[in-house]
Amino acid sequence: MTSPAAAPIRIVLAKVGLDGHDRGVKIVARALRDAGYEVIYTGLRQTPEMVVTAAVQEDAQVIGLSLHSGAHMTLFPAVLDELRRREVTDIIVFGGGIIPDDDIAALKELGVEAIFTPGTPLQEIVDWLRQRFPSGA
Amino acid sequence: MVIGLTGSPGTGKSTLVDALIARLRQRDQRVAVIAADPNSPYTGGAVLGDRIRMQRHAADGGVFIRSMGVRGHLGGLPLAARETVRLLGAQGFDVVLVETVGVGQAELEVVGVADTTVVVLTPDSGDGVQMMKAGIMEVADIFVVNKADLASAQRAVSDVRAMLSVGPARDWKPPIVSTVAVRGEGLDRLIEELDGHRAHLRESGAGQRREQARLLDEAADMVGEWSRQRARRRLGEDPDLLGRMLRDRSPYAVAAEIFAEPEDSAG
Repeated sequence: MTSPAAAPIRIVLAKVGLDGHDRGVKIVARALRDAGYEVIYTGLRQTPEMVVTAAVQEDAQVIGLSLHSGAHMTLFPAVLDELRRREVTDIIVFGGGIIPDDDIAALKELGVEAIFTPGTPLQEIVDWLRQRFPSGA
Repeated sequence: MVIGLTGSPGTGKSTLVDALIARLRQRDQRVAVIAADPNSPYTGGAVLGDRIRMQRHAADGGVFIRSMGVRGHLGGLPLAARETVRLLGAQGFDVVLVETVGVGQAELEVVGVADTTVVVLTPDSGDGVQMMKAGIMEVADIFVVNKADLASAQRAVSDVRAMLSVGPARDWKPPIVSTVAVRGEGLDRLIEELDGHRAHLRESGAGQRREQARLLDEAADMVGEWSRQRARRRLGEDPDLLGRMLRDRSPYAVAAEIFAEPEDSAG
């Protein structure tokens, strides 16, 4: 049994837009739980405003967006914009889904810190978080 | 006004909270929610999933929802629940809804936090013998039989009523409210009973007595927690003490010794 010295890192996971494929995000939620993170899953069909509100109210350090509908170039930047609009500077954003390489580069340019496509080993996501938050869970 | 909702996993606590938020917002009351879920005893991680049932209120500025992992604390709520409730009250929320983890029979900490405790049951919550057991069934100010559209709902209501009829007479007889939270059915009656209990607390003086008992419990709990921390520290830094305990298998003797030490000598 481990007793985390500091409070666990909190991660809001959300499906944005009109996309009902939530198997992947649920598996990620479970993997992050098993890696010691506190995951707040907010469910399907979230607007960027709802996601940011949840992350602020939950005092999360990370937002993870999942999207398989093809609207990532609209909705991922909309979440970043909403964070900026509310002057939130201490929450980072990563994403996952069916996203072409060109778009990945563009999204990273905009400030999405990491994108994981289907087939990514779960450990890769955990490793990225560990590197991003070395002192956290 | 702090309303606690407790009950077994899957009885519909989160859905009931969602329905309550909707009714309270109709009355223009600002509502805060604390929703507790368990952490893994192995990794400390958690999936906090109560919020998912309440997300329709996410864009409402009069609603604040905070999920909390209990982080190893037993009793159905995180150790920080009371402080959080106090903070939310100071923020001007009219009602704070506190949802416990899905509980078994004896996780009763919600009573130390809430003005009104709602125990949520379903028609398959168990037979008359379960109802006779001590613990959670005794602490309810209001019973909700949720999922009341299921067969045998009426029997569940009868079982609770039978249980209540034989107990010692109390100054408040817990009402039993049937709800179908997912459709908002029974919520008018539940709101009425919550208002009724609130009036009872005020008029009978029971509210004030509860508040005093709560503060006393909280102080005692803090002393317990600090003592536990101090004992672990002492045993960690004093090999002689630890060695003696391991050799003599005498946790009681060593505990008495630590407890009797003045605080400053313990460091």
